Amino acid sequence: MNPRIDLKNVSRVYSDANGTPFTALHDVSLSVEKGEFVSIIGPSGCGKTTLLRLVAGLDLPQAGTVSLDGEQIKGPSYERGYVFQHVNLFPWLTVQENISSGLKARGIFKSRKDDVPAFIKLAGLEGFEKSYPHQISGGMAQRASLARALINDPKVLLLDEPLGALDSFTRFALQDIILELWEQRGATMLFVTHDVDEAIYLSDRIVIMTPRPGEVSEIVEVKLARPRLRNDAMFFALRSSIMEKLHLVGSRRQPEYFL
Amino acid sequence: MLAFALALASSLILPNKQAKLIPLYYQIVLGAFIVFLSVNCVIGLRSAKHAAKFFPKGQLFFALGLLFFAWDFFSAKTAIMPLPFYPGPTQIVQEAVADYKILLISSAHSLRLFALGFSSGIILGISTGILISWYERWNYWLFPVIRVIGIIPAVALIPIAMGIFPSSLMVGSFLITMCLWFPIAYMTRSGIANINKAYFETARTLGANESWLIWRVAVPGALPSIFTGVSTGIALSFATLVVSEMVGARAGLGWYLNWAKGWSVYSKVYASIFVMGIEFALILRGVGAIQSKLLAWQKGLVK
Ligand SMILES: Nc1ncnc2c1ncn2[C@@H]1O[C@H](COP(=O)(O)OP(=O)(O)OP(=O)(O)O)[C@@H](O)[C@H]1O
Ligand SMILES: [Mg+2]
Repeated sequence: MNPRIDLKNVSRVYSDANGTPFTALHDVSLSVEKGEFVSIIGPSGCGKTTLLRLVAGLDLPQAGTVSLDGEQIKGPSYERGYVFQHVNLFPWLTVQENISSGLKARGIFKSRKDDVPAFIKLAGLEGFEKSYPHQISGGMAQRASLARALINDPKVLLLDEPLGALDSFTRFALQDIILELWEQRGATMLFVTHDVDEAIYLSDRIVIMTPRPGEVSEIVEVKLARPRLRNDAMFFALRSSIMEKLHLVGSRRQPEYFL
Repeated sequence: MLAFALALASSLILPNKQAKLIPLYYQIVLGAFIVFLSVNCVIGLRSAKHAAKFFPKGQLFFALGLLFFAWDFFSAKTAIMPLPFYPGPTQIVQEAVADYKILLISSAHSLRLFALGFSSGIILGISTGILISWYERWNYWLFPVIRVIGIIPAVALIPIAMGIFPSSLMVGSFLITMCLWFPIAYMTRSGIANINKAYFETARTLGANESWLIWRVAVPGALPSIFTGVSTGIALSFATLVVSEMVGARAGLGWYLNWAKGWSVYSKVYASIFVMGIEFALILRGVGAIQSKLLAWQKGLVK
Protein backbone atom coordinates (compact mmCIF):
# COMPACT_ATOMS: atom_id res chain seq x y z
CA MET A 1 0.00 0.00 0.00
CA ASN A 2 1.27 3.46 -0.80
CA PRO A 3 2.18 5.56 2.17
CA ARG A 4 1.01 8.96 3.18
CA ILE A 5 3.57 11.72 3.71
CA ASP A 6 3.21 14.29 6.50
CA LEU A 7 5.39 17.31 7.10
CA LYS A 8 4.55 19.13 10.31
CA ASN A 9 6.00 22.58 11.05
CA VAL A 10 9.22 21.67 9.32
CA SER A 11 12.15 24.10 9.33
CA ARG A 12 15.57 23.70 7.84
CA VAL A 13 18.27 26.28 8.39
CA TYR A 14 21.56 26.20 6.53
CA SER A 15 24.56 28.29 7.30
CA ASP A 16 25.97 29.93 4.19
CA ALA A 17 29.59 30.42 3.24
CA ASN A 18 30.09 33.16 5.86
CA GLY A 19 28.47 31.12 8.59
CA THR A 20 25.36 33.27 8.77
CA PRO A 21 22.20 31.21 9.11
CA PHE A 22 19.91 30.96 6.12
CA THR A 23 16.37 29.66 6.45
CA ALA A 24 15.73 27.39 3.48
CA LEU A 25 12.42 26.10 4.84
CA HIS A 26 10.35 27.88 7.42
CA ASP A 27 7.48 26.20 9.25
CA VAL A 28 6.27 24.11 6.34
CA SER A 29 3.30 21.84 6.85
CA LEU A 30 2.06 19.62 4.07
CA SER A 31 0.32 16.29 3.72
CA VAL A 32 0.33 14.07 0.70
CA GLU A 33 -2.38 11.42 0.65
CA LYS A 34 -1.78 7.80 -0.26
CA GLY A 35 -1.22 7.54 -3.99
CA GLU A 36 -1.69 11.25 -4.54
CA PHE A 37 0.19 13.19 -7.21
CA VAL A 38 1.40 16.49 -5.75
CA SER A 39 3.52 19.03 -7.60
CA ILE A 40 5.65 21.68 -5.97
CA ILE A 41 6.19 24.87 -7.87
CA GLY A 42 7.95 28.07 -6.98
CA PRO A 43 10.82 30.33 -7.91
CA SER A 44 14.41 29.24 -7.68
CA GLY A 45 15.76 29.01 -4.15
CA CYS A 46 12.42 28.62 -2.40
CA GLY A 47 13.41 25.31 -0.87
CA LYS A 48 11.85 22.74 -3.19
CA THR A 49 14.91 20.53 -3.31
CA THR A 50 15.40 20.94 0.43
CA LEU A 51 11.87 19.71 1.03
CA LEU A 52 12.35 16.70 -1.23
CA ARG A 53 15.63 15.78 0.44
CA LEU A 54 13.90 15.77 3.82
CA VAL A 55 11.27 13.34 2.55
CA ALA A 56 13.97 11.19 0.96
CA GLY A 57 15.77 11.04 4.31
CA LEU A 58 18.97 12.51 2.89
CA ASP A 59 18.60 15.45 5.24
CA LEU A 60 16.96 15.97 8.61
CA PRO A 61 14.87 18.96 9.75
CA GLN A 62 15.97 21.12 12.66
CA ALA A 63 12.40 21.60 13.76
CA GLY A 64 9.19 19.74 13.03
CA THR A 65 8.67 16.21 11.80
CA VAL A 66 8.64 14.45 8.48
CA SER A 67 6.80 11.16 8.63
CA LEU A 68 5.64 8.34 6.45
CA ASP A 69 2.35 6.76 7.56
CA GLY A 70 2.96 8.32 10.95
CA GLU A 71 6.49 6.97 11.29
CA GLN A 72 9.29 9.47 11.37
CA ILE A 73 11.78 9.35 8.50
CA LYS A 74 15.32 8.72 9.72
CA GLY A 75 17.23 7.93 6.56
CA PRO A 76 16.94 6.99 2.91
CA SER A 77 15.26 3.84 1.68
CA TYR A 78 14.78 2.27 -1.73
CA GLU A 79 11.04 2.49 -1.09
CA ARG A 80 11.36 6.25 -1.61
CA GLY A 81 12.77 6.60 -5.09
CA TYR A 82 14.50 9.88 -5.78
CA VAL A 83 15.40 11.39 -9.12
CA PHE A 84 17.90 14.18 -8.61
CA GLN A 85 17.60 17.63 -10.14
CA HIS A 86 21.03 17.25 -11.67
CA VAL A 87 21.36 13.97 -13.47
CA ASN A 88 23.93 11.83 -11.73
CA LEU A 89 24.22 8.49 -13.37
CA PHE A 90 27.32 6.67 -12.13
CA PRO A 91 29.89 7.58 -14.80
CA TRP A 92 31.77 4.31 -14.36
CA LEU A 93 28.72 2.18 -15.16
CA THR A 94 27.04 1.67 -18.52
CA VAL A 95 23.43 2.71 -19.07
CA GLN A 96 22.29 -0.82 -18.44
CA GLU A 97 24.39 -1.19 -15.30
CA ASN A 98 23.13 2.15 -14.04
CA ILE A 99 19.52 1.13 -14.51
CA SER A 100 20.08 -2.18 -12.75
CA SER A 101 22.20 -0.66 -9.96
CA GLY A 102 19.21 -0.45 -7.60
CA LEU A 103 18.66 -4.19 -7.90
CA LYS A 104 22.35 -4.86 -7.35
CA ALA A 105 22.54 -2.56 -4.34
CA ARG A 106 19.70 -4.46 -2.75
CA GLY A 107 21.19 -7.81 -3.65
CA ILE A 108 18.18 -8.94 -5.70
CA PHE A 109 19.72 -8.60 -9.14
CA LYS A 110 19.86 -12.32 -9.84
CA SER A 111 16.17 -12.89 -9.30
CA ARG A 112 15.04 -9.80 -11.19
CA LYS A 113 17.59 -9.66 -13.98
CA ASP A 114 14.92 -10.27 -16.60
CA ASP A 115 13.09 -7.05 -15.71
CA VAL A 116 15.97 -4.84 -16.80
CA PRO A 117 15.23 -4.82 -20.56
CA ALA A 118 11.69 -3.64 -19.88
CA PHE A 119 13.01 -0.59 -18.05
CA ILE A 120 15.54 0.12 -20.77
CA LYS A 121 12.69 0.01 -23.24
CA LEU A 122 10.54 2.21 -21.05
CA ALA A 123 13.27 4.84 -21.08
CA GLY A 124 13.65 4.42 -24.83
CA LEU A 125 17.29 3.48 -24.50
CA GLU A 126 17.39 0.30 -26.57
CA GLY A 127 20.67 0.14 -28.43
CA PHE A 128 22.43 2.27 -25.81
CA GLU A 129 22.65 -0.36 -23.08
CA LYS A 130 26.43 -0.55 -23.34
CA SER A 131 27.02 3.21 -23.62
CA TYR A 132 28.55 5.18 -20.79
CA PRO A 133 26.66 8.20 -19.42
CA HIS A 134 28.92 10.74 -21.14
CA GLN A 135 28.18 9.13 -24.46
CA ILE A 136 24.43 9.74 -24.39
CA SER A 137 22.40 12.94 -24.63
CA GLY A 138 21.14 14.91 -21.65
CA GLY A 139 17.57 13.81 -22.29
CA MET A 140 18.58 10.18 -22.52
CA ALA A 141 20.52 10.49 -19.28
CA GLN A 142 17.49 11.95 -17.59
CA ARG A 143 15.34 9.08 -18.81
CA ALA A 144 17.95 6.61 -17.62
CA SER A 145 17.98 8.09 -14.14
CA LEU A 146 14.19 7.92 -14.06
CA ALA A 147 14.34 4.25 -15.04
CA ARG A 148 17.01 3.66 -12.39
CA ALA A 149 14.64 4.94 -9.69
CA LEU A 150 11.61 3.12 -11.08
CA ILE A 151 13.15 -0.34 -11.21
CA ASN A 152 13.01 -0.53 -7.41
CA ASP A 153 9.21 -0.24 -7.50
CA PRO A 154 9.25 2.60 -4.99
CA LYS A 155 6.10 3.34 -3.02
CA VAL A 156 6.98 7.02 -2.96
CA LEU A 157 8.53 8.72 -5.94
CA LEU A 158 10.33 12.02 -5.43
CA LEU A 159 11.08 13.75 -8.69
CA ASP A 160 13.16 16.94 -8.69
CA GLU A 161 12.59 18.60 -12.05
CA PRO A 162 13.12 15.32 -13.86
CA LEU A 163 12.15 16.80 -17.20
CA GLY A 164 14.01 20.06 -16.81
CA ALA A 165 16.56 19.66 -19.57
CA LEU A 166 14.24 18.26 -22.20
CA ASP A 167 12.72 19.77 -25.33
CA SER A 168 8.94 20.06 -25.30
CA PHE A 169 8.30 17.02 -27.50
CA THR A 170 10.24 14.66 -25.29
CA ARG A 171 8.81 16.41 -22.28
CA PHE A 172 5.23 15.77 -23.31
CA ALA A 173 5.98 12.15 -24.12
CA LEU A 174 7.66 11.62 -20.76
CA GLN A 175 4.86 13.33 -18.88
CA ASP A 176 2.52 10.75 -20.37
CA ILE A 177 4.88 7.94 -19.43
CA ILE A 178 5.06 9.21 -15.86
CA LEU A 179 1.28 9.47 -15.66
CA GLU A 180 0.85 6.01 -17.07
CA LEU A 181 3.31 4.54 -14.59
CA TRP A 182 1.65 6.35 -11.74
CA GLU A 183 -1.79 5.11 -12.77
CA GLN A 184 -0.50 1.54 -13.11
CA ARG A 185 1.61 1.35 -9.98
CA GLY A 186 -0.02 4.04 -7.94
CA ALA A 187 3.00 5.42 -6.08
CA THR A 188 2.65 8.53 -3.93
CA MET A 189 4.22 11.29 -6.01
CA LEU A 190 6.03 14.48 -5.08
CA PHE A 191 7.03 16.27 -8.24
CA VAL A 192 9.06 19.47 -8.37
CA THR A 193 8.78 21.58 -11.48
CA HIS A 194 9.23 25.10 -12.80
CA ASP A 195 6.60 24.58 -15.41
CA VAL A 196 3.01 25.57 -14.55
CA ASP A 197 1.52 23.64 -17.49
CA GLU A 198 3.35 20.51 -16.48
CA ALA A 199 2.12 20.82 -12.91
CA ILE A 200 -1.50 21.23 -14.03
CA TYR A 201 -1.30 18.42 -16.54
CA LEU A 202 0.02 15.93 -14.01
CA SER A 203 -1.09 16.72 -10.49
CA ASP A 204 -3.99 16.28 -8.13
CA ARG A 205 -2.75 19.26 -6.14
CA ILE A 206 -0.17 21.95 -6.71
CA VAL A 207 1.85 23.40 -3.84
CA ILE A 208 2.99 26.96 -4.48
CA MET A 209 6.05 27.99 -2.53
CA THR A 210 7.64 31.39 -1.94
CA PRO A 211 11.29 32.10 -1.10
CA ARG A 212 13.10 33.92 1.69
CA PRO A 213 12.24 32.09 3.79
CA GLY A 214 10.90 29.06 1.92
CA GLU A 215 7.26 28.69 2.78
CA VAL A 216 4.13 27.12 1.38
CA SER A 217 2.03 30.05 0.22
CA GLU A 218 -0.91 28.21 -1.23
CA ILE A 219 -2.14 24.80 -2.29
CA VAL A 220 -4.28 24.62 -5.43
CA GLU A 221 -6.47 21.64 -6.16
CA VAL A 222 -6.64 20.62 -9.81
CA LYS A 223 -10.21 19.49 -10.39
CA LEU A 224 -9.86 18.58 -14.03
CA ALA A 225 -10.93 15.17 -15.28
CA ARG A 226 -8.19 12.82 -16.50
CA PRO A 227 -6.95 12.36 -19.15
CA ARG A 228 -6.41 16.09 -19.37
CA LEU A 229 -6.28 18.26 -22.42
CA ARG A 230 -3.49 20.81 -22.60
CA ASN A 231 -5.59 23.30 -24.55
CA ASP A 232 -8.79 23.10 -22.59
CA ALA A 233 -10.44 26.39 -21.50
CA MET A 234 -10.48 25.18 -17.87
CA PHE A 235 -6.80 24.38 -18.16
CA PHE A 236 -6.05 27.93 -19.30
CA ALA A 237 -8.15 29.46 -16.56
CA LEU A 238 -6.33 27.48 -13.91
CA ARG A 239 -3.04 28.34 -15.54
CA SER A 240 -3.56 32.07 -15.38
CA SER A 241 -4.78 31.93 -11.81
CA ILE A 242 -1.64 30.06 -10.76
CA MET A 243 0.52 32.44 -12.76
CA GLU A 244 -1.06 35.28 -10.92
CA LYS A 245 -0.34 33.64 -7.59
CA LEU A 246 3.27 33.26 -8.63
CA HIS A 247 3.30 36.97 -9.58
CA LEU A 248 4.26 36.05 -13.08
CA VAL A 249 1.37 38.00 -14.60
CA GLY A 250 -0.60 41.10 -13.64
CA SER A 251 2.35 43.12 -12.48
CA ARG A 252 3.39 43.89 -16.00
CA ARG A 253 2.20 47.06 -17.68
CA GLN A 254 -0.90 46.56 -19.81
CA PRO A 255 -0.37 47.13 -23.54
CA GLU A 256 -1.48 50.61 -24.53
CA TYR A 257 -3.27 49.54 -27.64
CA PHE A 258 -4.76 46.37 -28.99
CA LEU A 259 -4.46 45.05 -32.47
CA MET B 1 65.01 -0.60 -41.91
CA LEU B 2 67.66 1.02 -44.02
CA ALA B 3 69.55 2.13 -40.97
CA PHE B 4 69.48 -1.35 -39.54
CA ALA B 5 70.71 -2.72 -42.80
CA LEU B 6 73.55 -0.22 -42.56
CA ALA B 7 74.33 -1.31 -39.02
CA LEU B 8 74.22 -4.95 -40.03
CA ALA B 9 76.38 -4.35 -43.08
CA SER B 10 78.96 -2.48 -41.04
CA SER B 11 78.95 -5.20 -38.44
CA LEU B 12 79.53 -7.80 -41.13
CA ILE B 13 82.04 -5.94 -43.22
CA LEU B 14 84.21 -3.79 -41.00
CA PRO B 15 86.83 -5.71 -39.10
CA ASN B 16 86.71 -5.72 -35.32
CA LYS B 17 89.52 -3.98 -33.53
CA GLN B 18 88.52 -5.36 -30.18
CA ALA B 19 89.53 -8.89 -29.83
CA LYS B 20 87.60 -12.10 -29.30
CA LEU B 21 84.16 -11.11 -30.46
CA ILE B 22 81.51 -13.37 -31.82
CA PRO B 23 79.36 -10.97 -33.86
CA LEU B 24 76.81 -13.60 -34.84
CA TYR B 25 74.36 -12.96 -31.98
CA TYR B 26 74.41 -9.23 -32.46
CA GLN B 27 73.81 -9.77 -36.14
CA ILE B 28 70.86 -11.97 -35.32
CA VAL B 29 69.40 -9.18 -33.17
CA LEU B 30 69.82 -6.70 -36.03
CA GLY B 31 68.39 -9.23 -38.46
CA ALA B 32 65.39 -9.71 -36.20
CA PHE B 33 64.81 -5.96 -36.22
CA ILE B 34 64.97 -5.94 -40.01
CA VAL B 35 62.51 -8.81 -40.29
CA PHE B 36 60.21 -7.15 -37.76
CA LEU B 37 60.28 -3.85 -39.65
CA SER B 38 59.81 -5.49 -43.03
CA VAL B 39 56.83 -7.50 -41.84
CA ASN B 40 55.29 -4.36 -40.40
CA CYS B 41 55.91 -2.50 -43.65
CA VAL B 42 54.19 -5.17 -45.67
CA ILE B 43 51.19 -5.23 -43.33
CA GLY B 44 51.18 -1.44 -43.37
CA LEU B 45 50.96 -1.38 -47.15
CA ARG B 46 47.98 -3.72 -47.00
CA SER B 47 46.02 -2.21 -44.12
CA ALA B 48 45.56 1.52 -43.68
CA LYS B 49 44.81 1.12 -39.99
CA HIS B 50 48.09 -0.57 -39.30
CA ALA B 51 49.92 1.95 -41.44
CA ALA B 52 48.50 4.84 -39.44
CA LYS B 53 49.72 3.20 -36.28
CA PHE B 54 53.09 2.06 -37.47
CA PHE B 55 54.48 4.47 -40.08
CA PRO B 56 54.71 7.55 -37.83
CA LYS B 57 57.24 5.57 -35.79
CA GLY B 58 59.48 5.15 -38.83
CA GLN B 59 61.82 7.99 -37.93
CA LEU B 60 62.21 6.64 -34.44
CA PHE B 61 63.29 3.24 -35.73
CA PHE B 62 65.58 4.93 -38.22
CA ALA B 63 67.32 6.80 -35.42
CA LEU B 64 67.58 3.61 -33.40
CA GLY B 65 69.27 1.86 -36.30
CA LEU B 66 71.70 4.74 -36.69
CA LEU B 67 72.41 4.63 -32.99
CA PHE B 68 73.29 0.95 -33.17
CA PHE B 69 75.51 1.67 -36.13
CA ALA B 70 77.32 4.54 -34.42
CA TRP B 71 77.71 2.62 -31.21
CA ASP B 72 79.13 -0.40 -32.95
CA PHE B 73 81.31 1.82 -35.09
CA PHE B 74 82.86 3.79 -32.25
CA SER B 75 83.38 0.85 -29.93
CA ALA B 76 84.06 -2.42 -31.63
CA LYS B 77 85.12 -1.14 -35.03
CA THR B 78 87.37 1.75 -34.20
CA ALA B 79 87.84 1.43 -30.44
CA ILE B 80 87.45 5.18 -29.96
CA MET B 81 85.29 4.42 -26.95
CA PRO B 82 87.68 2.45 -24.70
CA LEU B 83 87.05 -0.77 -22.87
CA PRO B 84 86.14 -1.84 -20.31
CA PHE B 85 83.63 0.94 -19.63
CA TYR B 86 82.16 1.23 -23.09
CA PRO B 87 81.65 -2.18 -24.59
CA GLY B 88 80.05 -2.37 -28.01
CA PRO B 89 76.66 -3.82 -28.72
CA THR B 90 78.24 -6.93 -30.16
CA GLN B 91 79.91 -7.74 -26.93
CA ILE B 92 76.86 -7.01 -24.81
CA VAL B 93 74.60 -9.22 -26.85
CA GLN B 94 77.27 -11.88 -26.77
CA GLU B 95 77.52 -11.74 -22.97
CA ALA B 96 73.76 -11.76 -22.60
CA VAL B 97 73.54 -14.88 -24.71
CA ALA B 98 76.38 -16.55 -22.85
CA ASP B 99 74.81 -15.77 -19.48
CA TYR B 100 71.23 -16.20 -20.53
CA LYS B 101 70.47 -18.81 -17.91
CA ILE B 102 71.64 -16.67 -15.01
CA LEU B 103 69.89 -13.66 -16.49
CA LEU B 104 66.62 -15.56 -16.82
CA ILE B 105 66.83 -16.87 -13.28
CA SER B 106 67.72 -13.42 -12.00
CA SER B 107 64.79 -11.89 -13.85
CA ALA B 108 62.49 -14.51 -12.42
CA HIS B 109 63.77 -13.72 -8.92
CA SER B 110 63.29 -10.01 -9.42
CA LEU B 111 59.83 -10.56 -10.86
CA ARG B 112 58.77 -12.73 -7.96
CA LEU B 113 60.02 -10.15 -5.50
CA PHE B 114 58.22 -7.42 -7.37
CA ALA B 115 54.98 -9.39 -7.67
CA LEU B 116 54.95 -10.03 -3.92
CA GLY B 117 55.68 -6.46 -2.95
CA PHE B 118 53.38 -5.04 -5.61
CA SER B 119 50.32 -7.06 -4.68
CA SER B 120 50.67 -6.52 -0.95
CA GLY B 121 51.38 -2.80 -1.53
CA ILE B 122 48.23 -2.42 -3.57
CA ILE B 123 46.05 -4.32 -1.15
CA LEU B 124 47.42 -2.47 1.88
CA GLY B 125 47.32 0.88 0.08
CA ILE B 126 43.73 0.65 -1.05
CA SER B 127 42.44 -0.75 2.23
CA THR B 128 44.27 1.90 4.25
CA GLY B 129 42.90 4.55 1.91
CA ILE B 130 39.36 3.28 2.40
CA LEU B 131 39.74 3.02 6.16
CA ILE B 132 40.95 6.57 6.58
CA SER B 133 38.31 7.98 4.25
CA TRP B 134 35.49 6.12 5.89
CA TYR B 135 36.29 6.31 9.59
CA GLU B 136 37.23 9.62 11.10
CA ARG B 137 39.09 7.85 13.90
CA TRP B 138 41.36 5.94 11.53
CA ASN B 139 41.96 9.12 9.60
CA TYR B 140 42.93 10.97 12.75
CA TRP B 141 45.57 8.45 13.75
CA LEU B 142 46.77 7.06 10.46
CA PHE B 143 46.82 10.02 8.11
CA PRO B 144 49.70 11.83 9.86
CA VAL B 145 51.64 8.56 9.92
CA ILE B 146 51.18 8.18 6.19
CA ARG B 147 52.20 11.75 5.59
CA VAL B 148 55.43 11.25 7.53
CA ILE B 149 56.42 7.75 6.47
CA GLY B 150 55.40 8.50 2.90
CA ILE B 151 58.20 11.04 2.63
CA ILE B 152 60.94 8.68 3.81
CA PRO B 153 62.52 6.85 0.87
CA ALA B 154 62.00 3.14 1.29
CA VAL B 155 65.70 2.41 0.71
CA ALA B 156 66.47 4.24 3.94
CA LEU B 157 64.63 1.44 5.70
CA ILE B 158 66.96 -1.24 4.34
CA PRO B 159 69.07 -1.59 7.50
CA ILE B 160 66.01 -1.90 9.69
CA ALA B 161 64.29 -4.30 7.32
CA MET B 162 67.39 -6.48 7.17
CA GLY B 163 67.35 -6.67 10.92
CA ILE B 164 63.70 -7.59 11.17
CA PHE B 165 63.15 -10.02 8.33
CA PRO B 166 64.95 -13.35 8.06
CA SER B 167 65.12 -13.67 4.26
CA SER B 168 66.20 -11.26 1.57
CA LEU B 169 62.99 -12.02 -0.31
CA MET B 170 61.00 -10.66 2.59
CA VAL B 171 63.24 -7.62 2.95
CA GLY B 172 62.82 -6.79 -0.72
CA SER B 173 59.10 -7.29 -0.86
CA PHE B 174 58.67 -5.33 2.34
CA LEU B 175 60.53 -2.39 0.83
CA ILE B 176 58.52 -2.52 -2.38
CA THR B 177 55.34 -2.73 -0.35
CA MET B 178 56.39 0.42 1.48
CA CYS B 179 56.97 2.18 -1.85
CA LEU B 180 53.45 1.47 -3.02
CA TRP B 181 51.50 1.49 0.21
CA PHE B 182 51.70 5.17 1.05
CA PRO B 183 51.21 6.84 -2.32
CA ILE B 184 48.30 4.52 -3.02
CA ALA B 185 46.72 5.09 0.40
CA TYR B 186 47.12 8.84 -0.03
CA MET B 187 45.68 8.90 -3.54
CA THR B 188 42.83 6.56 -2.61
CA ARG B 189 41.88 8.92 0.16
CA SER B 190 41.97 12.01 -1.99
CA GLY B 191 40.16 10.18 -4.80
CA ILE B 192 37.33 9.23 -2.47
CA ALA B 193 37.20 12.73 -1.03
CA ASN B 194 36.74 14.16 -4.52
CA ILE B 195 33.78 11.99 -5.45
CA ASN B 196 30.61 13.99 -5.87
CA LYS B 197 28.46 13.43 -2.77
CA ALA B 198 25.41 13.02 -4.97
CA TYR B 199 26.65 9.58 -6.06
CA PHE B 200 26.66 8.35 -2.49
CA GLU B 201 23.24 9.89 -1.87
CA THR B 202 21.81 8.32 -5.00
CA ALA B 203 23.18 4.95 -4.01
CA ARG B 204 21.57 5.27 -0.59
CA THR B 205 18.17 6.09 -2.08
CA LEU B 206 18.60 3.02 -4.27
CA GLY B 207 18.98 0.82 -1.21
CA ALA B 208 22.76 0.52 -0.93
CA ASN B 209 24.33 -0.59 2.32
CA GLU B 210 27.72 0.52 3.56
CA SER B 211 29.74 -2.12 1.78
CA TRP B 212 28.04 -1.32 -1.52
CA LEU B 213 28.85 2.34 -1.01
CA ILE B 214 32.50 1.45 -0.47
CA TRP B 215 33.02 -1.13 -3.20
CA ARG B 216 30.60 0.11 -5.84
CA VAL B 217 30.79 3.86 -5.41
CA ALA B 218 33.91 4.90 -3.50
CA VAL B 219 36.40 2.52 -5.11
CA PRO B 220 35.32 2.88 -8.75
CA GLY B 221 34.98 6.62 -8.29
CA ALA B 222 38.46 6.86 -6.81
CA LEU B 223 40.04 4.46 -9.30
CA PRO B 224 41.54 7.12 -11.60
CA SER B 225 43.25 8.65 -8.62
CA ILE B 226 44.30 5.25 -7.27
CA PHE B 227 46.09 4.60 -10.55
CA THR B 228 47.96 7.86 -10.18
CA GLY B 229 49.16 6.55 -6.82
CA VAL B 230 50.13 3.24 -8.39
CA SER B 231 52.26 4.84 -11.07
CA THR B 232 54.02 7.05 -8.52
CA GLY B 233 54.68 4.03 -6.34
CA ILE B 234 55.82 1.84 -9.21
CA ALA B 235 58.52 4.26 -10.29
CA LEU B 236 59.86 4.30 -6.73
CA SER B 237 59.57 0.57 -6.39
CA PHE B 238 61.80 -0.16 -9.40
CA ALA B 239 64.62 1.81 -7.85
CA THR B 240 64.03 0.17 -4.51
CA LEU B 241 63.92 -3.27 -6.06
CA VAL B 242 67.34 -2.89 -7.66
CA VAL B 243 68.95 -1.32 -4.62
CA SER B 244 67.56 -3.90 -2.22
CA GLU B 245 68.85 -6.70 -4.43
CA MET B 246 72.22 -5.05 -4.71
CA VAL B 247 72.75 -4.86 -0.98
CA GLY B 248 71.13 -7.89 0.50
CA ALA B 249 70.13 -10.49 -1.97
CA ARG B 250 71.88 -13.51 -3.40
CA ALA B 251 69.67 -13.56 -6.50
CA GLY B 252 67.91 -11.19 -8.83
CA LEU B 253 68.94 -8.65 -11.45
CA GLY B 254 70.29 -6.20 -8.89
CA TRP B 255 72.49 -8.91 -7.45
CA TYR B 256 73.69 -9.91 -10.93
CA LEU B 257 74.47 -6.28 -11.71
CA ASN B 258 76.50 -5.92 -8.55
CA TRP B 259 78.27 -9.21 -9.12
CA ALA B 260 79.23 -8.29 -12.69
CA LYS B 261 80.53 -4.97 -11.44
CA GLY B 262 82.56 -6.76 -8.81
CA TRP B 263 84.34 -8.63 -11.61
CA SER B 264 84.54 -5.47 -13.71
CA VAL B 265 82.70 -7.19 -16.54
CA TYR B 266 81.02 -4.10 -17.85
CA SER B 267 79.41 -5.79 -20.80
CA LYS B 268 77.52 -7.92 -18.29
CA VAL B 269 76.54 -4.80 -16.37
CA TYR B 270 75.11 -3.34 -19.54
CA ALA B 271 73.41 -6.59 -20.42
CA SER B 272 71.63 -6.70 -17.07
CA ILE B 273 70.67 -3.05 -17.39
CA PHE B 274 69.05 -3.80 -20.72
CA VAL B 275 67.20 -6.77 -19.31
CA MET B 276 65.97 -4.58 -16.46
CA GLY B 277 64.79 -1.96 -18.90
CA ILE B 278 62.85 -4.53 -20.87
CA GLU B 279 61.40 -6.13 -17.77
CA PHE B 280 60.26 -2.88 -16.19
CA ALA B 281 58.85 -1.67 -19.48
CA LEU B 282 56.83 -4.86 -19.72
CA ILE B 283 55.53 -4.41 -16.16
CA LEU B 284 54.49 -0.84 -16.94
CA ARG B 285 52.81 -2.06 -20.11
CA GLY B 286 50.88 -4.63 -18.11
CA VAL B 287 49.76 -2.10 -15.52
CA GLY B 288 48.83 0.29 -18.33
CA ALA B 289 46.73 -2.39 -19.99
CA ILE B 290 44.88 -3.12 -16.75
CA GLN B 291 44.37 0.58 -16.22
CA SER B 292 42.90 1.25 -19.63
CA LYS B 293 40.62 -1.75 -19.20
CA LEU B 294 39.35 -0.67 -15.78
CA LEU B 295 39.08 2.97 -16.75
CA ALA B 296 37.48 2.36 -20.13
CA TRP B 297 34.53 4.44 -18.96
CA GLN B 298 36.75 7.49 -18.86
CA LYS B 299 37.61 7.32 -22.53
CA GLY B 300 36.41 10.51 -24.17
CA LEU B 301 35.47 11.95 -20.79
CA VAL B 302 38.91 13.24 -19.92
CA LYS B 303 41.79 13.88 -22.18
N1 LIG C 1 23.76 22.47 1.66
C1 LIG C 1 23.40 23.75 1.68
N2 LIG C 1 24.17 24.66 2.34
C2 LIG C 1 23.82 25.94 2.39
N3 LIG C 1 22.72 26.46 1.81
C3 LIG C 1 21.92 25.63 1.14
C4 LIG C 1 22.21 24.23 1.02
N4 LIG C 1 21.25 23.65 0.29
C5 LIG C 1 20.39 24.64 -0.05
N5 LIG C 1 20.76 25.82 0.46
C6 LIG C 1 20.06 27.09 0.30
O1 LIG C 1 18.71 26.86 0.57
C7 LIG C 1 17.90 27.53 -0.35
C8 LIG C 1 16.91 26.60 -0.96
O2 LIG C 1 17.61 25.70 -1.78
P1 LIG C 1 16.86 24.62 -2.67
O3 LIG C 1 17.92 23.87 -3.36
O4 LIG C 1 15.93 23.85 -1.84
O5 LIG C 1 16.09 25.53 -3.72
P2 LIG C 1 15.16 25.09 -4.92
O6 LIG C 1 13.81 25.57 -4.63
O7 LIG C 1 15.31 23.66 -5.19
O8 LIG C 1 15.76 25.93 -6.11
P3 LIG C 1 15.90 25.55 -7.65
O9 LIG C 1 14.56 25.68 -8.26
O10 LIG C 1 16.85 26.54 -8.19
O11 LIG C 1 16.41 24.17 -7.70
C9 LIG C 1 18.81 28.18 -1.38
O12 LIG C 1 18.84 29.57 -1.14
C10 LIG C 1 20.16 27.59 -1.10
O13 LIG C 1 21.15 28.55 -1.23
MG1 LIG D 1 16.16 22.53 -6.65
